[in-house]
Amino acid sequence: MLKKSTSRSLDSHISKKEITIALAGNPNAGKSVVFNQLTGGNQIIGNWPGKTVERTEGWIRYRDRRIRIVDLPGIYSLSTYTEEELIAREFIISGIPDVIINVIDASLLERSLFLTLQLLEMEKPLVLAVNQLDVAESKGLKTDIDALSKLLSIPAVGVIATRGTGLNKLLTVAIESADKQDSVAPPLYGGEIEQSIEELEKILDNAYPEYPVRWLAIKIIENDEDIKRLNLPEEVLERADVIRRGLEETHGEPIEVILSSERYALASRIARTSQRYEAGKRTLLQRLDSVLLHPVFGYISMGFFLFVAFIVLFKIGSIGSSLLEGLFSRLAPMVNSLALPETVKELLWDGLLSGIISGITIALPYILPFYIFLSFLENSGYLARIAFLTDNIMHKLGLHGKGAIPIIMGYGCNVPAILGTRILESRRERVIASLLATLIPCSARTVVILGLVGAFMGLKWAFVIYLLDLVIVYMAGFLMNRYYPGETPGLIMEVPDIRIPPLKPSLRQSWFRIKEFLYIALPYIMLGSVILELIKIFGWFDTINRILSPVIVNWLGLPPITGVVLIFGLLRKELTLILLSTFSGTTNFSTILNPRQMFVFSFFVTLYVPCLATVAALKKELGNITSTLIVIGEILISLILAGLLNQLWIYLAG
Amino acid sequence: MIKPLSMLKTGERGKIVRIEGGMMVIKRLTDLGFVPEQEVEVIRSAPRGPVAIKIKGAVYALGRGIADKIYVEEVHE
Ligand SMILES: Nc1nc2c(ncn2[C@@H]2O[C@H](COP(=O)(O)OP(=O)(O)OP(=O)(O)O)[C@@H](O)[C@H]2O)c(=O)[nH]1
Ligand SMILES: [Mg+2]
Repeated sequence: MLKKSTSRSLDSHISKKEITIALAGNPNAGKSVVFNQLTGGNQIIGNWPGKTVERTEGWIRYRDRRIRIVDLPGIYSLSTYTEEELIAREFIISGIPDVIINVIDASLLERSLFLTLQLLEMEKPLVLAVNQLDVAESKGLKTDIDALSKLLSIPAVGVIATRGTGLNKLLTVAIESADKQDSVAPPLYGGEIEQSIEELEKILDNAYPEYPVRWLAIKIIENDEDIKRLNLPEEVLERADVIRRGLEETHGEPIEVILSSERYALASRIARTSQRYEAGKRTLLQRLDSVLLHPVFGYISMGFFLFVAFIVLFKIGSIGSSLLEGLFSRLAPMVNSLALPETVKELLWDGLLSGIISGITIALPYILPFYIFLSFLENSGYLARIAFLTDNIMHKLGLHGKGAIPIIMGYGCNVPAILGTRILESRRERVIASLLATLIPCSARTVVILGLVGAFMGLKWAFVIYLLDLVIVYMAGFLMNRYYPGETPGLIMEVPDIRIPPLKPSLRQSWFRIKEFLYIALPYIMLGSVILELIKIFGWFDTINRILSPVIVNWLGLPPITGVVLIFGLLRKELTLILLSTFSGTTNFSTILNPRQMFVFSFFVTLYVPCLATVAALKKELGNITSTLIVIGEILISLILAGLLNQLWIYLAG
Repeated sequence: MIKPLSMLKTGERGKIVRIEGGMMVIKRLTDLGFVPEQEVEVIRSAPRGPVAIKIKGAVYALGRGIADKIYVEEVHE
């Protein structure tokens, strides 16, 4: 884990052609906004802790030089508890970054400085980006950037990342600092602790020149896990034990508490000197927040809010869909009038064009407003409130409130949801949360549910599917919790202030997601439609249908064509509906499916194997065995439930 | 009087005395600033379920089981 630091060599003050800048800081400090602004990247941003769960790089040019900027997951300290935190810590201490930009939230100065002090201990170039100055100001906090810089003896730049303010200067200062390889002075702590550190430093002498000796001494006293792997001599460890016990006796606290108190005492002194509280007032948003977290009104407002959002999104989607349909219906005669051979025209129209048109008329009107809604929801901070409110229920599913966040993200797309489970503490929680996330109807499945059941059977039937799905999610979680051995740890999660989402970054985020849909889904749609058309032209349908019909026709009660379409759905779920429309040459699905079939089809699409990308994510995060079990389990469960639903429907309809 | 943080009502304040429980939980909490002598304010508490605690300007959601193990001395204004 600990690697030799590379940039401490003597020639490092000669400016390198390529520089690596790492962005480190507390969760939710604004690292990813800084990253996106500097590199034009599309890191997920939002107002809850733990969005970035992977190391992400972007390259930019700066006066002929190549600068690598690395966005990291947020951490509160260099001690780590979850997977994404470990990723951040490893990169920070790897010695790879030439300079670290410590992004801090100025409105949480003292808490942020706790990490800053730990970063200073590494004695590597460090630049402070004092972000969210606008938020601090609105809370009545006046921050003296120069004072901060002096007290910490490192460069500090005031920034408002969402507006791009101060970012050019930040970059220049960081590159300068990397070039100079500024020596950084580690912070000094209280009397006995300093004595202990000094004593260990003497014993260590310079036996490990690749690490700053003071840093090493502190880590040894702290009993740091990684340090144990260095195989330090017995003599040093024994001495450290004596020192540690001595400190623990004088203070009457475990060493972890002593050092944290010490660091916080210093952080608090620095914060008090460099920041002044002027009058702040209770804002409307704060008052709203006390309702949102309320033990009664909190739940009522959550239910109401989500229900209204559901209705509004459906209405926008269905209106948009019919508008686009009218627009595109003028196109068909135009293609037909072209002077081309019949087969070519068929391939062009039925294969390529109508695929794209179906994709745009059926999927886009639902996905577009949904993604915009999602980005605003993410950036408002409401997700963290939902996590708070659902902590009790989540415990029944073997998770705690934080587990609700990746699961809700699943409504957008299951892939980031599964990666997002990294913020959970144990493997057990990650497996349960990932499984539940794959059962959540993502935006692609929403297209099918709303575009088919919602549009042709009525909104309340679509609502029934969502409710049924939640019941299934609950049952799955309940059973997992019952039979998967292990305990659920308690919830410890920051709840950031509720905010009015920043317009531009939120819209930009929605745009990136829509672009991804257009770039990834549309080629699939075109490919799918062409293959389908070829199958039709070569007359292979009957063979395929004969193979699939026991399941599709007899058990699920669906028309034969849906079999092929469901196979394409393995690639992406919205393909099922889009290809159904291109194949039958209509977007009026009531001509090919009756209500029972619509409902069963949508229900089955919601539950059967997650799409390819999701399976890949499951495999990457949970390994082959677990992911295979999840996939097989979901195929079986979806077949059983959808089949039973079909039989029950037929039985009830008499 | 010293009592668990979970016993404080919404709006009440306390000063942290000690934290019990596993080392992981203690360390995580001290990293966030839950250190002895630190004042905390209860933003939201209900008879059941998690509590929301404000400390050094930040709000944290703590599961009931965790709030049970943080002992505080009530602070009166
Ligand atoms: N008003 C305001 N909001 C900001 C500023 N910088 C970031 N934000 C908001 O703060 C939230 C968190 O920003 P991110 O960039 O996602 O935070 P992060 O540090 O990458 O967080 P993690 O990935 O969870 O560690 C987002 O909702 C941003 O819109 C700022 O300068 N002013
Ligand atoms: Mg981030």
